[in-house]
Amino acid sequence: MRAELAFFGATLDMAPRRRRRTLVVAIYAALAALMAALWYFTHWRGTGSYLVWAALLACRLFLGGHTSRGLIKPFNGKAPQQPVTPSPLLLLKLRIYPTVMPSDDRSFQNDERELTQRDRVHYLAYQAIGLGVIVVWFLASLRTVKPAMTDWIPMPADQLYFSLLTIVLLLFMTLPQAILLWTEPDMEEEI
Amino acid sequence: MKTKLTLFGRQFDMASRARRRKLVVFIYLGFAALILVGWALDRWGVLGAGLILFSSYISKLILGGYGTEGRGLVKPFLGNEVRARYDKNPNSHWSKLASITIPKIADDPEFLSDEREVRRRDSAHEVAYRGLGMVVIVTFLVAYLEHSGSRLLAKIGVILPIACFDQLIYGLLICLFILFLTLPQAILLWTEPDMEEEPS
Repeated sequence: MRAELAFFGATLDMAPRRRRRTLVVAIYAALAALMAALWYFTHWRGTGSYLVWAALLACRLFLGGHTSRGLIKPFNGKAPQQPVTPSPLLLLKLRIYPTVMPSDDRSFQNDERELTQRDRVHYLAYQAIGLGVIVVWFLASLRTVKPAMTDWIPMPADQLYFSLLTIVLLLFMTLPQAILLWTEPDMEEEI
Repeated sequence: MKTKLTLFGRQFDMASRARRRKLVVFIYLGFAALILVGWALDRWGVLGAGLILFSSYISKLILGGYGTEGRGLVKPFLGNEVRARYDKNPNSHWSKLASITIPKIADDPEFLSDEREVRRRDSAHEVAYRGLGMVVIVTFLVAYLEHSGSRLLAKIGVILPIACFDQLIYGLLICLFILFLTLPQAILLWTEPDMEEEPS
């Protein structure tokens, strides 16, 4: 995990756990507010995908995990895809043939402890996603087997499935990073 | 992980990885066949729920992992946590209830996982999380197409069969539920190398 968050040119110190917890609460509060606003205006019809884009943006800017930016290093340990040299066609035109040296930057790679932490939070997040799946399946099962028992739900089936699956998807995208940021103790300042 | 599978009184040697892989393939082929039969018989109506109960039973009986009975090849994932709570106060109501409902709670080799096994459990869940996530994304896309795409397509004259979409989503939810119950154990059985025979 990184101790500093680069955000629009500014560098924020995220070593204290309290700050990271504040960030997690702020992200989920913002997502919840967006959900409520979109539900109020459109019932997510046509706008439900905005929630997924918002979660992707949160991962890219703050959380990381699935992207090379953000506080959590990429879970897959792959280097970020950034071209370090101009396009080969441009080089040919300019008749420049530089030797491309491999980058020494290994900051994207997880060490042994970070890999253990990563697997541990995925174990915890797996239970939460599984519970979400069980809830969606249970309601879908009631709708299929005994539709009369779901009359209290004030929305059609397609809206119900889409809403619940959107929430499960948002959790899938953000939960392991959020658990890591929440549970990791205060970090020492990087030298 | 255990080297022997006890099934209806008979013991099967599962030390070799090839055998465990065959078992995993056999189980998932069985689930696929049951899903198809459930669709053919009553469009996953009552059989859909029955399928979940059956897969849960098979998961506990053969695969292990989820559930605390200690049956199946993989040790209970929650064994250490349950045992720690039991050891904290063995005279509490919770501990007494646990000792009645979980007969193997005091059996250390059967119930507790060592450090390596905990590490393998978490690693298998990390891989399973990605697999489960892929199916969640597919299910979400189908739901999105039904919820938001159907009206857009209707404007250009394409009418989607909504009832089919509902059933497709329900089928994918059944698959998700089965995968949630079985995938980490299947990954563990698939990837663990050949084991040495336990001394009898």
